[in-house]
Amino acid sequence: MTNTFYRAFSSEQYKLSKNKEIFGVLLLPVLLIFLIDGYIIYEISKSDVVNSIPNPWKVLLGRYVFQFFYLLYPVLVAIFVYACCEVEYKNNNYKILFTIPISKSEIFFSKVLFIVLIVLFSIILSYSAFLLNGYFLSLIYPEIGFQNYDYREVIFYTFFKLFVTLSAISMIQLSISLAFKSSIYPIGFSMFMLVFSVIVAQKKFSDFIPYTGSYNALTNIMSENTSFARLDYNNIVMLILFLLISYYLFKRKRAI
Amino acid sequence: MKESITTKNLSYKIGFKTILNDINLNVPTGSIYGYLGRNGAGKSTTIKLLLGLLEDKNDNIFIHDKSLKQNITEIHSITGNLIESPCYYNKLTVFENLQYLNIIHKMGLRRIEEVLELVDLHREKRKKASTLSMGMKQRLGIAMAIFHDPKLLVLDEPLNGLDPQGIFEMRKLFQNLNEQGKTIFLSSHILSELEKVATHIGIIEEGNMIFQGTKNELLGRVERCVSIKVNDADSAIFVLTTLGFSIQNKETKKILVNINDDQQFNLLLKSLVQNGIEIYEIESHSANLEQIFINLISQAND
Repeated sequence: MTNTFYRAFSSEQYKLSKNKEIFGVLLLPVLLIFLIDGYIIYEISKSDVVNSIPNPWKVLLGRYVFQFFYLLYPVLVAIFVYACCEVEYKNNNYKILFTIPISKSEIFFSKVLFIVLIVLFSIILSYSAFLLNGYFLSLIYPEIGFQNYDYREVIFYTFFKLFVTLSAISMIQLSISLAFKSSIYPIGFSMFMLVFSVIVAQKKFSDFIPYTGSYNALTNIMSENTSFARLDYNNIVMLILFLLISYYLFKRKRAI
Repeated sequence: MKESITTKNLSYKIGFKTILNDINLNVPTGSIYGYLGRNGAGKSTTIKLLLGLLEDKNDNIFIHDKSLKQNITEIHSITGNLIESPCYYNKLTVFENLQYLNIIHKMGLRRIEEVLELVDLHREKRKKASTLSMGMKQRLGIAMAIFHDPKLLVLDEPLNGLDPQGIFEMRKLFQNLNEQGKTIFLSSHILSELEKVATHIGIIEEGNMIFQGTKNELLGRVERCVSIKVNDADSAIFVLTTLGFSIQNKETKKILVNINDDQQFNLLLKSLVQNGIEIYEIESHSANLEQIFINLISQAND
């Protein structure tokens, strides 16, 4: 890491971390897991008898959490990525960005690194919250049987593949946010792709649509899938492809 | 004298439209260079080219003798700028906006306080930038421009939105910075202010440079004239035209005469008195920057 890249990254991190949207992408998924946990406790406390559930990690916690996640995460990422670009659109701040003694390439890659790191931290926080809630439920309701299943490998791969998916989505959203000044296009596109990916999720070509990845996270946890499939490799390709497209769009940006 | 900014036949086109045509700027180091022109004359385009915000494909811009195209990052480290409206991050406070620059330029926290004092924003340092008044935002823009102690300041309309007290303070600030050896390239529509601070002037019209030189050279291009109130204007005109004076205007008892220097003025007075013409009032008119600017623009368009 060169000195100027470090300065570029530190300055981007300082500036972008003042965005409220960052807390949305970091904390909302965690909050959601805790709310689901609360709902499960509420449901159990209403019934007189607590029955054992076959693999509650997937049937109880996983099903609820990922049903919300596949709808929530891509939109949160889209909003967060747009917020990272919007700070430069306001007051035409590209004039600041392009007259500081740091090259455009270093500024761009520091922005990308910041976005990917936040997505990673968000996934790590959600993963930790998911495991924590499962262990917590196993302590207060051992009858449900969380402790009887070692589901860590499936949970890890599900979250890991979700991270790859969200990274690819973040690069697509970055391209759109760099191409259009208005928030309507990037947010609208992510909403449309979310609905579209659910509709076409069973089609073979859906493997080429990164937005399908968040829906597939639910399928993965339910079917105990730990292997990397075509969709996951495709997401890595999409990540690189849209990183290059974003780089091209950023390099040709003019502060006028 | 060394030049802080030099351009060699700088031209810029958008499609088939020529925005700048062979501009040869020479901004001496340590000067306050006032860059004048009407709206759409090409001032902002020149400034954006000087800062590398627009690309000069022909490598015709040199800052401190270095090619801008080849040394853009290094040149950005010695250049401060404020272009049109001030730039700042809305979600950051005044202090945080400067801290953001501090991370890049590594000037230290003391420099933040120092700059806030200079632009008189220290009381507002905890306020979100978006909540500042227009004048304060302008001050923040200037603070951000001078934060890294640049050798060259490029300011486009820096006095916009400032009240008379603010304009006075900014004028003092520019003069202080200039005394510290900084070169200031300044574009402003407030010509009276520019006249007070500028040492050099460049005038651009429809993409062409129509004047460049020191302020005194510019003011010296225009003839002085005196308005004289006399008892008999016709006799005075007869005397003066015989001696070769050019009469610009005549009222009932008042005449406006062009003069080149103090000797001519002396001759004018002597000849009027010697011919028995009574003089009641003399008023000297020296052209100001605004009048010269308007004259030059209209000459260029004729």
